[in-house]
Amino acid sequence: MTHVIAGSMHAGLRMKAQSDPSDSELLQAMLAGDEAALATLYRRRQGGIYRFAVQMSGSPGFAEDVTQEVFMALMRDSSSYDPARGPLNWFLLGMARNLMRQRLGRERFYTSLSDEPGDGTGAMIDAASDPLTELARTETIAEVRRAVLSLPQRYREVVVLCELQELSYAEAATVLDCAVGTVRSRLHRARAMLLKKMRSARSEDKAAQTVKTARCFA
Amino acid sequence: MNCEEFQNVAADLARDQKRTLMDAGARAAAQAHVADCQNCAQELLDQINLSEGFRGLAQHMKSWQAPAALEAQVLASFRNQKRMGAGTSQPQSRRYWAVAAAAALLLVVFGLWGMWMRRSQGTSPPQALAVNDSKSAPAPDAKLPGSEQVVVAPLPTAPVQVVAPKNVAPRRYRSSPNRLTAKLYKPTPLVPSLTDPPMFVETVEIATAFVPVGYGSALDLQDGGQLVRVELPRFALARFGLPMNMDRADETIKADVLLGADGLARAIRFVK
Repeated sequence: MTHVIAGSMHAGLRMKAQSDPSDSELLQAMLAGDEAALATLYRRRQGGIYRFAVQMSGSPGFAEDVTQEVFMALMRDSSSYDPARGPLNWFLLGMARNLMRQRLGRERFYTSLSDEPGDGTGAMIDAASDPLTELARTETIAEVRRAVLSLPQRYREVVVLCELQELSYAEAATVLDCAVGTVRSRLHRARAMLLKKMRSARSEDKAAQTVKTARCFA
Repeated sequence: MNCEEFQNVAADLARDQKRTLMDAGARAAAQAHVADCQNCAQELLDQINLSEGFRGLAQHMKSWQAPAALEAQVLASFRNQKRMGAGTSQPQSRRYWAVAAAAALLLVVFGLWGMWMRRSQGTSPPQALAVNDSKSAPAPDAKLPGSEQVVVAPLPTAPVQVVAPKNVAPRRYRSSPNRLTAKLYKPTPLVPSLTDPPMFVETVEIATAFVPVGYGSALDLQDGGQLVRVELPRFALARFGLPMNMDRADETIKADVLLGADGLARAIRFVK
């Protein structure tokens, strides 16, 4: 009876492993030539890499290139991945970050996402909620995105990782290959810069409204 | 906690508690300070609004995915790579370094080969220099080529005029003929500096003036010629009217013979 229970538990674990294999297992299977493993790994991780690249560059086209290059590099040479240093997702984000540093250094284009087609900002407005509230929220999101994209790269990457990808300081430090204290200080500095930018933008808006009002009365 | 200390923790206070390194004591102290300080309360409010903005942006982009066509491209690349067997070959970085090392090795080999060729070319005419090449050979006595004075130059009747040549660069005699030839091809100063004792002592060569030979005109030398270093029996000095030590008659003496383009000797000078 005990053997039967143990056998069924083992089979259950094996079934679970087969239905939901870890990233490392998928990577091993992919390196052994299993295309389905690559497809599963891609579907699981492409979203995070793509979003990271969009948030860093502001360009969906650029983010597509980076996503593709990350998986191509993983296929070519995954020997530099050390599971002891962290999960595969962090490794992939680190690869994306390095690729972007190389390419952004060359191309230097920062496109505001609000200018991109298919931005989807308008789709966020929910018909059921208060339209004015949603509009204000959408404007806030667009303002935050513009401000993030205007940051220098080393500050932008900690903001994207810690605030938008919601990694902890330690996880971000692994991705960026730096000390935890460095991540924390950069994030604080980045937040201060963002607040300064957003405050100055709001004060300019207020000043513009005041001028318009004065012209109206004149 | 004062305002300066609060500035250091304001961002952590506004962020999600799970993702910060802030302990409970510091958090309580910061909240107590906010209750008393209006500016820090406003700062905290701005930080919280910023965090809200980040959360809204992250939520807004949460559903963003790469286009479906990209997956097809990645899988197609994987199939191609598998078909080419690249998965079992060396990683690309290793291949890159192998190619770079091979290129560096080729550069070194070609460099050595080029140096060897230059040296071998330089040693083929060990002592023959083209006169019409101002860079490659030191000019002979300026009075000779193309000069009327040279044709009618009187034979030296006085004792040997032992002077350093005026426009001829001093030759360096080294153990290696290759080094000598290579040195002669370099542009050297025409008049050696007498204030440079080591150079003068080591490299100066005492020579007579050029003595015309035969009846050819030195004007032919404008078409080019050669300066050839030869060794002659010492009694050749007497044939040109120069004094000679009879005790050393069986020895040889060096001489530079100036040949015309037709190969006939035009002038000669004796060198010590």
